[in-house]
Amino acid sequence: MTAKRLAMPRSILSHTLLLTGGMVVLLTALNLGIILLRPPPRDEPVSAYEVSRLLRGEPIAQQRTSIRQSLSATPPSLGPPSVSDSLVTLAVAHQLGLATGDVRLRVASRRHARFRADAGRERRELAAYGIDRFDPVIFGSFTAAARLPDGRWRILSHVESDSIAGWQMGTALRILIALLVAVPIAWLFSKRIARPIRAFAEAVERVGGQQQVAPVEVGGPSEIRLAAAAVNDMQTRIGRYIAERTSVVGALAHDLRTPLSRLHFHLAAAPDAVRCKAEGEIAEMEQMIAATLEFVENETRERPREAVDLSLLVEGVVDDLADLGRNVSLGSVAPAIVVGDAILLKRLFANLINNAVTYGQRATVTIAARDGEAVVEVLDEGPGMSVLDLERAFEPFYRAESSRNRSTGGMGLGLAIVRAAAERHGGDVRLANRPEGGLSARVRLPTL
Amino acid sequence: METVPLDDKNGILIVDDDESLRSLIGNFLTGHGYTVFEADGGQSMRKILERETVDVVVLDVMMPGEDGLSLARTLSARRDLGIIMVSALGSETDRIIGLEVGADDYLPKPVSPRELLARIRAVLRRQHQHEEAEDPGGAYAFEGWTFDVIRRVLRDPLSVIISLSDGEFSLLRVFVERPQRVLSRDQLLEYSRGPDSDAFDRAIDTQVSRLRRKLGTRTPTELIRTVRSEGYMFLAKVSRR
Repeated sequence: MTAKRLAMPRSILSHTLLLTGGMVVLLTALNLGIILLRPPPRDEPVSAYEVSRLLRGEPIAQQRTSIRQSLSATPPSLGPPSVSDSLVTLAVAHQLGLATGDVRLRVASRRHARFRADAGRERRELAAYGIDRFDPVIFGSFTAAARLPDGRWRILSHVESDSIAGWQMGTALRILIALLVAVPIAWLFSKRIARPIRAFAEAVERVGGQQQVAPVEVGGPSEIRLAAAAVNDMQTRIGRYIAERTSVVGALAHDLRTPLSRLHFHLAAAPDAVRCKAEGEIAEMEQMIAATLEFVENETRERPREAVDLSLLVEGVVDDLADLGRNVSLGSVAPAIVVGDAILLKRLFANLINNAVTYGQRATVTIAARDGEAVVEVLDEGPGMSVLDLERAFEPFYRAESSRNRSTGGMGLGLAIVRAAAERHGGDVRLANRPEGGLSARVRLPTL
Repeated sequence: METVPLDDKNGILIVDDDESLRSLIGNFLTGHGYTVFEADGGQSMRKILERETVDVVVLDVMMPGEDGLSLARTLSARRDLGIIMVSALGSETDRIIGLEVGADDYLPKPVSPRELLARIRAVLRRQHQHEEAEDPGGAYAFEGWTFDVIRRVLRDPLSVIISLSDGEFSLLRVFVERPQRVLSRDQLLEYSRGPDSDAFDRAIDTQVSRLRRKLGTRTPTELIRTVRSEGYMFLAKVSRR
């Protein structure tokens, strides 16, 4: 829908290209602007004629404040002249009508080769135009002096401010500022590009291990749409795989029940001692089959969503176990109503509390309700669980070593059902060893 | 313990596609004095029902061709016939569906002989006693509460599900089926668990008090009254839904 509104390509590739291209254009525009709009570096040359006028004390058209004048009884002490200096001196002396000995002139050597006084050029000009028309120009710093009729010397000195370097510094600074402007813009757009990827990752996260969760929404840039479709395909395949696995397990468990029934009737004629023992074994097998089928059913069955009084349900589970002579009691109980499947919730707490009384000697159950969630805590006084067992306790068919060695051990499905049931009701379950000893199982469920 | 007289031989029809289980059950029930018929499917079941006097049908749910559920549906019109469903599925949904299509009882596999015998006796007893309210179908309503016997669901006046233990469920069922009548502890025991039960008797007062507490969380008025030295009475007016 947004693709139509914006009428532009919706792929990460095009967005990245747009971002990169946009940044190049922006920076180039800023830099060009800086260079074109800034005044060029000022470094105006002075001609030999102008120097001669200044030495005579006359003004020149382009007043140069940077040229200082002074009078001195002695000529300035200057180094040996270059060829270029001598030629310019000749021109100035000619303009002033003085002997070259009465004029001194030195041009400071330039840092920039391009502006360096070029003796060849002056020589060619002198040869071509003649001494009367010879008017070389001076770039940069220079010192010139001429003897006045009274025998004093007028000295000009021009120290060029390093305007080129200044201009460069200024320009570099402005480009830096332009860059600083560009960076947050680029960051903002990059974030926009990354946003659908992040959203996609979150959607995939939500899918998690539960196969019944709605598929990842297919939207956003075309690459994300492709990825979402691929994830959904994968999800379907995993779902099919799980369904196949559970149906195989279910069929196997189911088919065991008819021979078990036959066994029951075969045993009816057996002596009581044999019959009782054998019926015990059958009952144990049946428990495993029931647990397996229950697990399979939990994985596949559509569950009702109805308002259920959680507190009374948990109390009922505790009462039932207490009736069977198990060591279980209720702590503080807050009223809480949740939306879900009463049968599944009953299984959840029956499994949890049964575990607590089986492995933890005695169990205390408390129910608290706060901030829109009910917290049911089952505390036992057993040995707790090892770190490894805590991590794996919720895996289907996983059994802790302590439970494996006991006749009480089931199929390792009890806690798997607990977790599946809690998650199906939008909650979670955590196991932790209590500092004072024993295990704490904490189930959180959103309340109505 | 025997409340069903053995002299009038009750006819039991076993419908199961597993031949050896069928004959095992048959032999067992014959040994307990019943006249047993066997059928391997819907067709032979109907044939036997035409010819013989049958009181109870023990019906396997999972059968090739016509399954037990559709057979139970066709049989439920016959009020004189008790139907016990036997299923290897044994899930709650399965049980509900079984009872909804008109079965009188539902047994999950593996079936133990003693359990089957107890259920057959219970069904026969109900047929003999012609209890006024033994139709397992339907739901009851009282004081805004609804109580669905098949789904074993009790809802408070705001439709919130109040979970009941098996004992509380049976007890409430006895109460709503016989409202505004004083019921002795023995009666409550017998109606809720049958005369064969042995585990329940001490717990009847506990069960009543728990049931009373659960009902009391929603309805402040008294619903179950203790009648001194006699028993209990369910005070509310009950209507069938």
